[in-house]
Amino acid sequence: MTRSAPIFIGGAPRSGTTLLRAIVNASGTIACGPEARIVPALAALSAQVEAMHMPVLQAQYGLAPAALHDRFATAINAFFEPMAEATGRRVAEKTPANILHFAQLRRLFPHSPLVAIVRDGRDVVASLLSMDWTDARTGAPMDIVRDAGAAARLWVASIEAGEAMRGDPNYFELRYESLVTHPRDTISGLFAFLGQDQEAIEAALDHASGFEAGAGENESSAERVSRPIDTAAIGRWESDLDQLQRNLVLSIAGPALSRLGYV
Amino acid sequence: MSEDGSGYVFLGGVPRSGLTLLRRLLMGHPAIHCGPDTGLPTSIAMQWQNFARSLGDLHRRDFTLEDNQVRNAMAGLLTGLIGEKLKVAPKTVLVEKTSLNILAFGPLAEMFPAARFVHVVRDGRDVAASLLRRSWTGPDGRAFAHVSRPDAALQYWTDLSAIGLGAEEALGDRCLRVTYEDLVRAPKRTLTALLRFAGLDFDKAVFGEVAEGDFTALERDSLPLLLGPVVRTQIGAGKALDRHLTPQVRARLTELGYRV
Repeated sequence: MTRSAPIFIGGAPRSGTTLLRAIVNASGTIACGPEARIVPALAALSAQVEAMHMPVLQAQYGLAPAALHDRFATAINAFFEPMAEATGRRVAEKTPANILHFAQLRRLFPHSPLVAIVRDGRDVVASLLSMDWTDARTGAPMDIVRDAGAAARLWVASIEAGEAMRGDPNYFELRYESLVTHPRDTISGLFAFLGQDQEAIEAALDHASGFEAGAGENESSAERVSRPIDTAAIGRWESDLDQLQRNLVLSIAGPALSRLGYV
Repeated sequence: MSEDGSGYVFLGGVPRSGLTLLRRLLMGHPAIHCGPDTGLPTSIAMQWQNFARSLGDLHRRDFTLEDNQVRNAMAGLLTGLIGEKLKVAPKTVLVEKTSLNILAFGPLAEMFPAARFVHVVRDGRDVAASLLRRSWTGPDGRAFAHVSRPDAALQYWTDLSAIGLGAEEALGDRCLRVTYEDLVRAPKRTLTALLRFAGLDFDKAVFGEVAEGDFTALERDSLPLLLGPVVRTQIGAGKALDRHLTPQVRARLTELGYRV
């Protein structure tokens, strides 16, 4: 279990999670496909069941609290077993919202590495506002792509969820800005954490050559990730956000941006 | 425990139709485990349906994940959470009685090809009268319309009954209808039929004593009726609601064999 525990990658949307998954997948020993989109839903369901139904499940259905975690972990693993078998690799799952569930994922997967990517919240907001994502149920544009305040609140929630994990020895946090400015050093740090060797690092540095841009759905950065790393997206907020939006973002995300050294 | 759901029976119906009374009786059977509502069959079945509908193509293409593997993962999750008691003899049948299971009989039947389903039905006027004595509130702290207004309570019964009837039709002989009125008028005969449907023989232990501590949460609303012998006194308790019947409610009552 320890050896094959899945790796979970998360971060605020538009923080470089797709680039990160392309890099991890290029390692040659870890399979990291596009967003499977089942982990946040099942992690949330497990937390809900634990909070609301555990007394009844324990007293009346004979389920031990640890068994509840095991059942959900087994279900999540079942989604990735075919990929692990087909590739012969350890599986990493990248869905940005994973980060909001890292605390619960730690309960379900005591041995899983949890990897968070952090990017300047102002750039995240600017990038989100350029997306055309719609709510699957209503068809209307999502709040986070039309409202700078909603986007900033999601970024703050994602940052705080990561910060809450900093005492966890199997949690690793990296910066988007470091990844694109100093890819070799940043990837080396990450891969040391994940137990990857020099060969994997070299393969990951050439992630673009093996990236399948057509895989997945709504991986908005797929085309960009299929090209070599560049730093063009750092500081995009300065041209993309108007003064009102900047003020709004700072009013919501200022403390977190300050803690992270972005302002 | 079987991955195909053999040994699982899901009860469902409009809340206040007698599902807890049914549990009070079935829990005495030595081969049955019938615990309180968990809400899990509906949550997990609907989550599975959501995955299958919206992510099926993605999972097939990028994760080499077949439909049956997704279904088995979610089915295994549910049985893994509620099925522990089936690992210990002499329990061979697990009955889950969350009333709103009725909303998910269809997907549950797909997830568990060998599971069986029981649609519990009661006169809508009596159900509505019972609902109107509840103080159930939503997340906003306000009472639900169906426990506040006679017309809303009757409509709630009508709408959920329609879903139950649809499930009966779709599931055919995998779904048994049990009426509250039959259960309290002829409990032995009704339970014998239900137990046979579940693959079991009647056992007089179903009429054994139960304790207050056997019931939890909303089930305790009905404690006086659950702790004593089965009585018929609640039949006709909603007679005063006759004047609120709309043509749609009348039609549903008639369809289910109730005199209006």
